[in-house]
Amino acid sequence: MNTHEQINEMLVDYVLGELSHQQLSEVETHVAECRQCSGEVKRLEALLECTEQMRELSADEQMMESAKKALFETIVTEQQKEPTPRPKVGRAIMWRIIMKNRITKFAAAAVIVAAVLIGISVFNFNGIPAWADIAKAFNEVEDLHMHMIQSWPENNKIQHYLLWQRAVKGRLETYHYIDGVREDEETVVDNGIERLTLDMAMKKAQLSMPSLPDYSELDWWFHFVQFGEAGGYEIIPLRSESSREVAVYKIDRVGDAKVLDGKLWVDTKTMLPQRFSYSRIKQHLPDNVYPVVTFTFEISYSYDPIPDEFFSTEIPEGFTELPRLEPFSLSGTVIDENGYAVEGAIVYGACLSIGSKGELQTSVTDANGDFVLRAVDETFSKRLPGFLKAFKPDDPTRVAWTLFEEPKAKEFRSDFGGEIPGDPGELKFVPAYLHLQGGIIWRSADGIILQMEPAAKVTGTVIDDQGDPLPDVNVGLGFVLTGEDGRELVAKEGDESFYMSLYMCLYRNLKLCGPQIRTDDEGRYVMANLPRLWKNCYHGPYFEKKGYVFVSSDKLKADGPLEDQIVNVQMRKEIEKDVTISGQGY
Amino acid sequence: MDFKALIDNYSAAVLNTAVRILRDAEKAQDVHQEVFLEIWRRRHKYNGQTNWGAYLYRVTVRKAIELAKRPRMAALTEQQQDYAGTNEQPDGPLRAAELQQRIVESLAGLPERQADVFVLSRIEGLKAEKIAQILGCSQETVRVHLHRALKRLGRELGDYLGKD
Repeated sequence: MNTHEQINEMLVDYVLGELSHQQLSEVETHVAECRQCSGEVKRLEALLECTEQMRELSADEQMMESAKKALFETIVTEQQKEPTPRPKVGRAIMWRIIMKNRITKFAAAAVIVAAVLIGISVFNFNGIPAWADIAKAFNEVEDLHMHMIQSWPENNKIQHYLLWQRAVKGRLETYHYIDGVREDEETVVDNGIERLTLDMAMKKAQLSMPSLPDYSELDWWFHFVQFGEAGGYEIIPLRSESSREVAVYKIDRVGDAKVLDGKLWVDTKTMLPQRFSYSRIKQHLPDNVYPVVTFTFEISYSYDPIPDEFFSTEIPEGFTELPRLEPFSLSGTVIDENGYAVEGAIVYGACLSIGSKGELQTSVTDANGDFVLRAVDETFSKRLPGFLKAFKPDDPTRVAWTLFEEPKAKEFRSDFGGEIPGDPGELKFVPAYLHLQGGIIWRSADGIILQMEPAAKVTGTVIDDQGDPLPDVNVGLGFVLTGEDGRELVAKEGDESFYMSLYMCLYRNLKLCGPQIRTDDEGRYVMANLPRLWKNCYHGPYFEKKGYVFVSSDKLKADGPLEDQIVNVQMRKEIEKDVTISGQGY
Repeated sequence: MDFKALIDNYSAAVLNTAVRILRDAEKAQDVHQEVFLEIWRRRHKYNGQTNWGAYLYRVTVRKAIELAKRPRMAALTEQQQDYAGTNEQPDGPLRAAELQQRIVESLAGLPERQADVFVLSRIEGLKAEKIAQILGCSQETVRVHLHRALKRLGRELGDYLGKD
């Protein structure tokens, strides 16, 4: 027989009708006698009855319509919300190309302007300025204001203001990002002597080295951005749309069609561009969260004189100054398995950066085993995760390495099955910048200890579909984290670890093999000194050659520690010309 | 699924859940708005693998309970009285409305999971299996949470549920 307490515990199941026959009669008998329990049963029954009434409710048509209407109205309002232009902020950023993040897109835009403006082809017919004249006028400008709005579907935007002055060699740039999640604003002033970066939202200021030695030539600036000289644009004057005051040109990129529907408006008196609009197709990398999207760009130009004080790097009032950003470096020591310094080891480092500029300068250890690595380009932000490896060129069987991760990363990724070797030293994180797309910005570290351990070697031959060896194939080995099921980690929405799983995707950008490896004349490649990673990560080797596609390869065995092995590969010629397709082997 | 399709498919479900919990057309619309607006703002972050039905149940229930925590709602309007119950004795609807209000207020004080289970089970009338799937837990866990929630509400609302 159950006690009162036991029966009392069964009352919920009783009212829910979930008791067995025997329990039921037992409870009924008890409830009939027990005042406390019968009271509770009544209350529970009242509670259930009441909630059942609630279940009867439902929204009517009218309510649904009005809810939807309200929602769409709010969305439309949000879409229309545009930041107030504020080119006169009196400070801003150096223009550097922080490329890696969303700013990149902007930079690419500037680039295209360049391509357009720098004499690519010359048209000269009545009433329409010749291209050479426009390029010349533009390159002689003393002051330039540029305002660009980059939009992509559903009204996400980047607004970018640029003020440039030849005399001061100064640049002032403001970036205003608006996406579905938040708004950011960053301003950089660079006057050739130093650079000031301002986080407008957090009111933080940071000084650092100027980005590049010389901005005195505007055309040089554009060239710097690399596309300028590439050419390949088709520029057609649109006579029907042009007037005496304004000449209009249609601009399309010939070939890979990166620029679509481009249109440039030029003042026929000054020969200077007034406005430029175009679209561009972009596929987001490196995760699969973003689809292929079309960006549109609207750029306007003016050429009024800019006061010098705009390029002052004084910390504006109300901003907190962060410690000066020193040049990036990673320093430490390489030791062998017995703890003795290793001289002459090559040290290679890579950190995340979208767009392949993440490699660090390669260094060689001195007699004390010490090394210092610097960035290839100081102005690119360094983002976690990062990877560092050292090896002796004459010893393919050993490697010393470590991995830099965000501290929280370990909570989210599966266990590797071992400790990451090496002591990655003390990392500093740059405050306030947590960009979803690009990992976490980090800074110098010192006291890094790398100890040699056994390494693996992957070799093989790449042939084409005729069976002939393929030389000059780029070969690499990535680093992809997987879950317990062996499948790659993919960011899932609505998940608390959404951010971190996005971050996890970034590991695949780390090249475990080190600097560029290519196949030789016999199609052979050797990736030596590879860390013997453990479980829960696979390492799909990749093979790339322009004009070729991947066909098949031996499977890389990597379910436990990586063993020495041979991976032979077959590729074939891509039928379409001038397209690079990369293959992934498994 | 694009955003428009998402709204078309789930608008009614979200509103129904919200109105059942809140018994207030305006507040239910607020919940509807917050739920979808948040998705809209984050729309680039979804990767096409979302189980929208389950996800929307979770966030709707959460938001509705959140909203119920805010100051007591003003006197019921006529329309809400219609929602509040039918075929009751003359004082029925008002008394039922009062009790429902107390229940929802108490829900806000329960551990989240218990409250979620209670709502999905008792107010939405879902089976344990479905609830387990929505909340990503076992059916046994659902049962335990429901049990605890009922016990606790029965105790807390003793006075309103009637004395013996």
